[in-house]
Amino acid sequence: MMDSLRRKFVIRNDKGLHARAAATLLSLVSRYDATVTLYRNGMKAECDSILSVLTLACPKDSELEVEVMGADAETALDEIGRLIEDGFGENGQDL
Amino acid sequence: MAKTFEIRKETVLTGIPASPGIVIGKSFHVERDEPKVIYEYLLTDNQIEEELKRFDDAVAEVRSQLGGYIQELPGEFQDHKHVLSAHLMILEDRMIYDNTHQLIKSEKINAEWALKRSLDRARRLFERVADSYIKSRVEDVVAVCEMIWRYLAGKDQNDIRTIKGRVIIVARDLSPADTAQMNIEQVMGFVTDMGGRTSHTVIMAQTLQIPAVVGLKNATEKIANGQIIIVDGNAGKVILDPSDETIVAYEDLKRRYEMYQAEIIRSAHLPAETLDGCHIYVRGNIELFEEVTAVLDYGAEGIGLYRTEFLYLASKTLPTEEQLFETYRDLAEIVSPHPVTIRTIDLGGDKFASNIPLASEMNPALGLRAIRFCLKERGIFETQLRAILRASNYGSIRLMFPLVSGVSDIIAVKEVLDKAKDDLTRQSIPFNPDMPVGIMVEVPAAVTVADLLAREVDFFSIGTNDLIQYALAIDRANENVAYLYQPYHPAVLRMIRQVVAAAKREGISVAMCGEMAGEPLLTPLLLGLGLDELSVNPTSIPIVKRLIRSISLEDCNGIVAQCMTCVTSKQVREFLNVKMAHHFPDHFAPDGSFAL
Repeated sequence: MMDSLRRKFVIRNDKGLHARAAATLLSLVSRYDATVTLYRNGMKAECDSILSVLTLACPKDSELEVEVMGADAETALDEIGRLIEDGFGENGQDL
Repeated sequence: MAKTFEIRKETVLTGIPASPGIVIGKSFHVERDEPKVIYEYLLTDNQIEEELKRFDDAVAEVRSQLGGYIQELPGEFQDHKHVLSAHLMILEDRMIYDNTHQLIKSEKINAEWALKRSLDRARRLFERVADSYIKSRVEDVVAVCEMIWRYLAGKDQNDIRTIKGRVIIVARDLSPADTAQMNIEQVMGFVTDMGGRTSHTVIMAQTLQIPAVVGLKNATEKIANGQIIIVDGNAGKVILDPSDETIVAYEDLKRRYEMYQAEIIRSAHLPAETLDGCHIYVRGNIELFEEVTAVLDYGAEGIGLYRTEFLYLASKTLPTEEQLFETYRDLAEIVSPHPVTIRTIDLGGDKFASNIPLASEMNPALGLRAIRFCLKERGIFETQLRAILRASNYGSIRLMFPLVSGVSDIIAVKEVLDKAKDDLTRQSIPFNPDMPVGIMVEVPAAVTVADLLAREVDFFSIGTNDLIQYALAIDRANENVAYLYQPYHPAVLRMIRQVVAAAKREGISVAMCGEMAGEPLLTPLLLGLGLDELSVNPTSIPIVKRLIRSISLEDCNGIVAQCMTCVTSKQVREFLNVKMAHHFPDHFAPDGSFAL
C-alpha cells in the first residue's frame, strides 16, 4: 500500500476553485509523480480531470481535504498548499 | 467569353450602430448555433479500431487548432488564453476523452454518439452544482464537443484562420470564447443578429476601434458567407449586394470619415471654448478603471461620472474598503489635477448584484435602488463612503449621490457621510474635509424642488437617461413605447432650463452626464442652456469638443430661444437639423445625419 498524505485547506480566492484555478492546480499536479484526490462534503474529485475538480464546486471559504499518494507526495502536497494559500495567485487582481 | 451575372438588388439592413466607422469587405460567418443532428449507429467488431482512430484524429485536429490559437493570441487577451487552455484540458479530460473511448469499445457505437453520451454525463454533473458561475461553465464543455463533432463530420472548421486577408464577422451573437478564437488582426468589423449597445461584441469592437452594427435580427440569414458587404457603424446600416455606385460612394465616405476622425482626435486636446471665449468643461463618463486612458487621451478635463457598480457586480463577495479605497485613490491620482466625480452605487433597479439578495420587484426603476438601497444597507454604504473620503486625500474627488428626490434624502445621506467623517477623524485617518458633495438630478421631483436642493449641495449633475424615462413615463427597454423616449421633448428642455436656473441662483455648478450630453446634435443647445459641464462617453469627447470650439455662445443662445418656442419633439428635432447643418456644414447634413 502506498503512503498517502492528507491535509485540510480553506479556499481563499474570491472566485473559488473555478476554471482557471482548477487548470492551474491540474498543471501543477501533472509535474509530480503523485495522485491527488480532493474531498469536500462527502464528494471527491480526482486531480487528473478538470471537469471532476470543477464540478466539486468549491466556492471561497469552503474547506477542502487534499489527499496525495505517490513518490512525490510530500513535495506535491506542500506545493498544492502554497497555491491554495496564495489564492491561486489571484489576490489583489479581482477587478 | 460572355458570362451571365445574376444582378441582385442592393439591400440595406438596419440595426443598432454600436461602434463607429465604415468598412467594406468580405463577410465571414461564425456559426455556433448551427442545427446539428447526431445519429447513433452500431459498429461491427472490426470497425471499432477504425472508429477509435477516427475519434483520435478529430481530437488531435482540435488540439492543434486550440494550440495554434493560444500561440498566436496577442498578449492583451490573457483572459481568452485562460479560456482556451481550459478547453485544451477539457479535450483531454477522461470524462470526455477516456469515456468516449470506453463507450465506443463497450457499446460498439459511433464516435459522435459516444461523445454525446459523455457530454450528457458531464452535463448532469454540472447540473448538480449550486454555484451558477461554475454551472454555466458546462458551455465550455459543449464548445469543445462541438469542435470535435465538426471534425468528425469531416466539415471544414469555419475557422477564421483558414481564410486569407481580413473579413467582417457575421454571427448571431459572439461570446468571449468566440472572439478568443479569432485572429483579431483579421477582423475588420462585426455584424450580429443579437446584442445591444453593451454586449460583448460591442465592447470588443470599441476596444479594437472597428465598426460594429448589432441587433440586426436576421443578418445571418440575409448575408451569405464570403459576400461583399458594407458596414456603416455610424448609421447602423449594413448594405448587401452594393451597386458599383454605392461602393464608390462608400469608399469616399469611408476615406472622409477617417480623415475627419483623425482630424477631430488630433485637435481634441485644445480647450473646449466657444468662438467668443466661453469655456465649458467636457469630462468623461467611465465604468471601468481602464477607460480613464481614453478619456485623458481625448483631452477631457476629468471624470464627470464614475459609475462605481462594477466592483460590486464583478465579484461574488462585496469589495472591501481597502479595495475600493485603492481603486478610487489610483483614479484620483491619474486624473489629477482634474476632478473625479464618484457616484455612489446605483444598485437595485435593473442592476443586480449577485452578492446582495434583492427581492424581485414589479417596478424596479421605481423601487429599492441607489441611495434608497444604500440607506437600507447602511454597512455597504458606510464602507463606500469611507473609501471615497480616504481617497479624497489624494487628487481631486467630488462625491455624487444618485436618485435624490428631495431635501430629506440629502439630510439622510449627509448624516451617514458625517458619521463616516467623524469616525475617520477619531481614527486620525486623513481625508479632504472640503470634498465637494453633489447630487444627480434625475427624478422629476428633484427638478421641481431644484431651488431647495441647490442650497444643500455643491453641484448638480443632470442624469438625463433616468430623468427622461421618469418624466415622460417611458420604459425605454419596452420596444412598444421606446420611440416615445425623446430627449427633444419640450418638457425635457424646460426641466433642464429650470435646473440650470436654480443652480445659477445659488451659485453652484451644473453638469449633464446622461447620454443626451454626448449627442452632437444637442451640443450648442446645451451650451446655450447654460450647463457648466458636459460629461460624455469617452468616444464622444473629441466631437463634442470640436463642436464647442466651432460656434459662439451668442449663436447657441439664439438656438435655445428658438427651440423653446417649439411645441413638439419633432419640431425641436427638425429645427435643430436645419440649424446644425447651417452652422456645421462639414458635420451635419440637413436631415441630421453625418454630412460626410
